[in-house]
Amino acid sequence: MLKEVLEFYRPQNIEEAYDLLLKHSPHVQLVGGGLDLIWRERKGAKYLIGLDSLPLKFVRLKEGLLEIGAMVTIRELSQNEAVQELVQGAFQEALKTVATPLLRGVITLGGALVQAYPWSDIPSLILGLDGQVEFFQGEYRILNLSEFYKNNFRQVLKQAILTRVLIPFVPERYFSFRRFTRTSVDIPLLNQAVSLDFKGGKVRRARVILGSRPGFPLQFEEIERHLEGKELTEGLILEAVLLAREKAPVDSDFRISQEFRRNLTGVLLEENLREIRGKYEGQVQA
Amino acid sequence: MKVRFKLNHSEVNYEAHPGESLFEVLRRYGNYEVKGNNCRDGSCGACTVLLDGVPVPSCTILIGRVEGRDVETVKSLGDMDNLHPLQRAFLEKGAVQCGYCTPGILLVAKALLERNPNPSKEEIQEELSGNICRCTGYVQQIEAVERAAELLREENK
Amino acid sequence: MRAFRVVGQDIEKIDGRALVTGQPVFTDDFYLPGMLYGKVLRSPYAHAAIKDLDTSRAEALPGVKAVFSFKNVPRKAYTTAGQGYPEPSPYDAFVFDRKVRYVGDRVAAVFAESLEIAEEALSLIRVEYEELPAVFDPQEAMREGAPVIHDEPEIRGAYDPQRNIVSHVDLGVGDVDQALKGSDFTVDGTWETQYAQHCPLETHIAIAYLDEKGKLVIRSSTQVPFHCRRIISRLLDLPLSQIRVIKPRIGGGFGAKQEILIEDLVALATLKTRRPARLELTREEEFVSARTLHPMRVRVRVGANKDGKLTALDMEVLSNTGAYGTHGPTVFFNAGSKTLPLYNKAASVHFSGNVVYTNLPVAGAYRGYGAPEGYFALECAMDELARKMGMDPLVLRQKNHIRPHETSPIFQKLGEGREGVPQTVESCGLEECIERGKALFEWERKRSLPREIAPGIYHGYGMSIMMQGSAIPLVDMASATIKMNEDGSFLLLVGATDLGTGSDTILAQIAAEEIGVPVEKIAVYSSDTDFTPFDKGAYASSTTYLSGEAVKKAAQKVKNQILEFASLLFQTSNQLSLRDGFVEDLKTGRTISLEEIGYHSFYTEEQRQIQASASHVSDVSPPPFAAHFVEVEIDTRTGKITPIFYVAAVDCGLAINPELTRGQIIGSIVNGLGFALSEELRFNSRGIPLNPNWLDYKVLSSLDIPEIKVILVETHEPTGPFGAKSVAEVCINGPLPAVANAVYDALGIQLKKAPFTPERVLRLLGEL
Repeated sequence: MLKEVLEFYRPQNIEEAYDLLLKHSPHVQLVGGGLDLIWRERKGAKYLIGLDSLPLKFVRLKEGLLEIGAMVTIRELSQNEAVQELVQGAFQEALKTVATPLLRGVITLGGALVQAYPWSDIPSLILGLDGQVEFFQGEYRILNLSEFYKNNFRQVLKQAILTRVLIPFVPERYFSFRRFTRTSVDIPLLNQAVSLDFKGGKVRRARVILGSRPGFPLQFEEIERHLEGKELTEGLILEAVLLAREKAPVDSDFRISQEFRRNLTGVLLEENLREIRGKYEGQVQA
Repeated sequence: MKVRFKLNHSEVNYEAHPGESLFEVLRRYGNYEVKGNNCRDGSCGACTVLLDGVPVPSCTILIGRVEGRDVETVKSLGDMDNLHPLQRAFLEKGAVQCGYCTPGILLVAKALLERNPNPSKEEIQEELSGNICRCTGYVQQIEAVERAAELLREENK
Repeated sequence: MRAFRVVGQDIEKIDGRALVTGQPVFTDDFYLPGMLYGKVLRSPYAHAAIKDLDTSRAEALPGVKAVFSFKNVPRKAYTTAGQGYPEPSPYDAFVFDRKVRYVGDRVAAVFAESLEIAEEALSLIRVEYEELPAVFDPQEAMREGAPVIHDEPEIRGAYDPQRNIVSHVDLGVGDVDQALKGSDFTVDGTWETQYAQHCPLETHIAIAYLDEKGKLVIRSSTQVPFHCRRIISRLLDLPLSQIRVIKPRIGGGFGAKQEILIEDLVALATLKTRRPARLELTREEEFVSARTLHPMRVRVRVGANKDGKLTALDMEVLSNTGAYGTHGPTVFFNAGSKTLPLYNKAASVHFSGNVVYTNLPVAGAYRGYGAPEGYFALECAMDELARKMGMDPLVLRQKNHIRPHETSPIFQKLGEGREGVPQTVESCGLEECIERGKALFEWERKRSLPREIAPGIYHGYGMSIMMQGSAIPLVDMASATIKMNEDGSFLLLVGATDLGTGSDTILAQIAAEEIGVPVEKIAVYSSDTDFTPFDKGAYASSTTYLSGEAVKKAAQKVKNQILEFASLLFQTSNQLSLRDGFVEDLKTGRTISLEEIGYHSFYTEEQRQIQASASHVSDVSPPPFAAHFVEVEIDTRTGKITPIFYVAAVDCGLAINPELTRGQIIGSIVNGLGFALSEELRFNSRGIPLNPNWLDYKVLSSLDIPEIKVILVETHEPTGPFGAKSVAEVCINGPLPAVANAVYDALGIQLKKAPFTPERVLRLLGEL
């Protein structure tokens, strides 16, 4: 039991929720999936604001954007038809490997992005797909997730409510995600999202996100630069892998060593790039 | 606080501390069919219930979130005199040893079979992977779910 | 051979219905008004003296009803090990001591009206510690000048506590050094196992209360109710007759619950407050403050000649028993006694080693009881020897393993922490296990395949053979009482402890078979120290073999009473038989139902209660045998090992219930695979556990298991009920060496340290 809790509110709309958040600051906590609250019970929140009654459960395809309400669970996303449309289903496939089947029914997209445990897969995934987040601070604001994470987001979130996640549909965008684990069901000891936009047979734009490094997700800019403007050949892949191993911005933790993470960065990159190449060539031939 | 919700298709009105988990409240009210150590981790799955048909670890659900929703425990499957095909299949296949993980796994299997009446062995393995069993080594449990799917398909013919 | 009607059948578990419907059958599915909730204050230091302890603020907190510490609990040295008396474990523990010996050790306990109040009270206890130097490596702990972990004057039964040595042994036959010198081939290697935890899904939990007559009742998730009663009686100075221990359904034990771990605390609380008291370990406490596997360093030297026969076998063990010595000596002896006799062709055999204290979590009984650690070393050494000899590893095993009607001097030399009991192995199906396992696995064909199946992806094939025991000879005793109801049904009362293993069902099957009735006619009550006769408890693979024989004996007596009574009723001396619930006069064909007999026996004539008790002690411990084969896939880019296919061929005599037997085999294999692949409790330099949680202590999930095929090889064990032996432990010995051998087969690297994490594999490959 979280014994410090005095009250659990169930606001019916976002403005009500926001007012409660301001009123009870700083001893207040929003409850999305609620896992962080349960796991880190010593947070000492006295007032809880449940978000289940807010209209934050929807998945919509609209004008080249996949709009996802913050309270949609990973399980729901992994079973949703619209989500399958994004990057040839690769995003949905990745979601099916995250956490455990049970926890996917509890973890919300918004909750995962807001808590952003360094070993979480969701931030890496959404960053890799150029996702944006919308949050409410009396009015709505939309920011690229990468921007959001740069600007002291935990402080901002003390007085803001994440409401939507927006992922752009980009034709010619191919995506692959890999995570390294100890057993089949595990947090990632390293994850990697690779997103390549092709034009004229070449990589027009690359996005490579490295997460659980063990630190917070980072953009691996050197690899991105190395891939951009080139054809995704076998040679390019091998070069990128060597470069990744050499320059991977990774560290040790008690789980695995830095050297191993470096090694793994190369392995994951090779798998990701081969998968993308397979899909792209398959599409081109079709 | 008072929380009103459906428990195994009947309405209940429980009194709870706002910081309690669904697991704590259920057991405090004598719903002992929900097993678990209240680790509040969600990793072992022993305390699994169905919340609006979705299997979740009840130790991770704050009670305030349950208002107006549907909670099912293993009691919703059957009772001693009237077993659900899943329960019969688990007994038939030796898939129950200590039984502590069993109620949780039965509910996960129930949700799976409702969504997919003809799952492959891999799909069953995948779906059960959030529930830890230290006794059986999983093989007989997977066989039991396959058998239950068979029994249910026969029933629905 | 007579055909059995009940044993050998896949009878549905008699408690199965209750389990699949979630009935309130576990310890915690129970509430009494006024129940108090307990929490334990635990040491943050690996080694410290308690200079002072002030519980006054905790006691003053409203809702707190009892606080215990060394200040108010009598000081008595004892062992928490649930073993027969006199326990072969050192008396080196106290309910509360003025010293703490590992991070997680007990400091004090609080009982309050709610868990939240108890937790708050813990934070109000002020403790002044004086940190002492700690030692975490068993080799270091034996050195001159190492901190003495057990310097208390009351300690008994430890070999040399000043050097932190709990047990030391050095014995054998022949001269291994000589024999090795003269051998054509020798191997000398050391293998190391890790700290692992049983992870029962239900943690340790106990509830104590006073019954309506004021008698102390302890309801506990325990494998050893009778040892619990005895030890509590001694510890709290309470006559045995004033204590009752009940074991409800248990959510897994695996050896962790062969301890009197927390029952003393709830008993103290109830005796003081006269109120029911409950204590449950959190998952973290289960990892750290319960019990673990014994991490061991095992050195094996083995020699053979060109003819393929072993000449010498030497095992040297360094066992880390953690901060207290419970099960230390006996697990250590078992590492040798359950392994060395397997290769009885070696004329010179030697076993030696030390069990050492360290300031780390307490190792105790864990399925296999030392044998998994011993087999890791032995079966890997045997493979290495085969390689040196250019011999198929299977052939080397076939030339040297024990056969029916053979013996080994080790049976006599190594017992339960002391001398053992000589025996001849009467039933041994190992040869058939190897043949049938090898065939199903396609051993020969697979080993002719190229190992690299895709760039960087290798497949390897390994095997191991193993044995265990069935109960402890001349030490263990089991008993059973059977009484008949007037409707021809029976009540079977056994002390035997069902951990979820299905022993209640197995014993009912044995009773039903012997009496001659369907199993539905037998109701079983087990593990209540007042109402069921004595049983040593569920450990050492005893229940089927030992408790089963006691049940069979009692059933035989009951059957004879029934026949005798029927003779009286029929007024005949003709031969009668009992079958399918009817007694038949074989000469005249006259029959009478058990129900008729029952009613007559209660109410009508020659009235008596048809009932009988029997006990059983065995003078032998017939080993079950197994041969395991595993195919693994190794990704040499990441070092990850994935088991693909596993075949276990097992001889447990007659399998009383094949499906339950299969469950025991598969469950122990998957646990053993966990030891091999991912399970390890790790510590930092201050002895603080790094991963006492499911997140980072990785047990296998349903997605991690290979395809597992079980072959039951039937033999007939003349001393076991209907020819049965045990099966609960033996297969946990297989995976560690089989996987290591398979990896060598694929990559030529020797994994000598468990678990075989990806990083360890890559380092051995020189990739990191």
